Amino acid sequence: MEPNYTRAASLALITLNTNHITATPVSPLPILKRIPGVLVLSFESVAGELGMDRRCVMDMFGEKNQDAFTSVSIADGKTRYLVTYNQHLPSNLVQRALARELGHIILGHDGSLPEDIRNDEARCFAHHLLVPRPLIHSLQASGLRITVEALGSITGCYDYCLSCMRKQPPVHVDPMLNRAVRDQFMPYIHNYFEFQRYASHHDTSAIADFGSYMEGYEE
Amino acid sequence: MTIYERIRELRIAQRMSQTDLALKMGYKDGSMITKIESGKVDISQKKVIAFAKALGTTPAYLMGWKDDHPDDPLSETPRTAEARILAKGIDRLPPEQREQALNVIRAMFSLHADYFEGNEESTDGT
Repeated sequence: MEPNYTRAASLALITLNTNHITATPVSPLPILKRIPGVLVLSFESVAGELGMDRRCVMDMFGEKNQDAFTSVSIADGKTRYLVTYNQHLPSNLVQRALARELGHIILGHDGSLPEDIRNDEARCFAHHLLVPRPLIHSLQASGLRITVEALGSITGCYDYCLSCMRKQPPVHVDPMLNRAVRDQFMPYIHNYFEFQRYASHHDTSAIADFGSYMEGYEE
Repeated sequence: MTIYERIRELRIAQRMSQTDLALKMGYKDGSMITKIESGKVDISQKKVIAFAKALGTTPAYLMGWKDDHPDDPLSETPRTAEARILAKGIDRLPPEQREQALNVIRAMFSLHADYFEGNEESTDGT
């Protein structure tokens, strides 16, 4: 049995599209919270509710120092998910972990697939959610250096995702879906390059990054 | 302290012989209790619940999650739902530890049953 990377990548793009995500970095937490039957809790909350030590909770579910994991309960024909994560990790690592757990849920993993297969599929989903391929394609016309800078700047996890993508075989996502996701990110990409042009002619030392520029832009 | 030691400790504290406990558990004599208390026989989840009832405690106390048992949320855990954990390394855990982890998860689903019901209802209604 092999992981179905095409399905994982396609579902990541469908998730971006149906949740009307138009900017990066993509945050999986609000997406998770919108899914019926999903509860997201930190290890700290779980430990507090059960009167246990946080470290004990983190370590008792498989490997030590889990960053996050998902549990499934199936009863009375209903499937419910509990996502538990380590809130003390740096935020970019929390985002990656939650994107992977979102992948398990969206991909319908219920424990029936072997662990390696489901983890590979969930990781693939996370890569395509956090660094959507259509976004890379939209940027790459500007040249490799700008693509890398832009993705690194606006997604915050380009290196991680790029290295993971290189290990995976190519996926063949429906061109219509690719176009739809590219189009929804286009205004954001346009603003990024506008910012770059602005920055090249003005003193932008007071602007910490593109994100804060966008906040000011919206006000 | 292991589950086997807790069973032995509670039995002795309640002045029960191994035969007394065996009869309460539906065994024909005390030999099975001897094996269980010495850790030579694994106990299924169903048996943990039965031992807890026979010894007047909670499964959570027997499993060693709590040192005391009043108001123990794990004691109210329903055992009918099927639970699975999608975590790195979960399939490589020893069966007993995996069962402990599953019981914690069942307890969490039980504790948050109201959230799930409300969450599903509000979504269906909109």
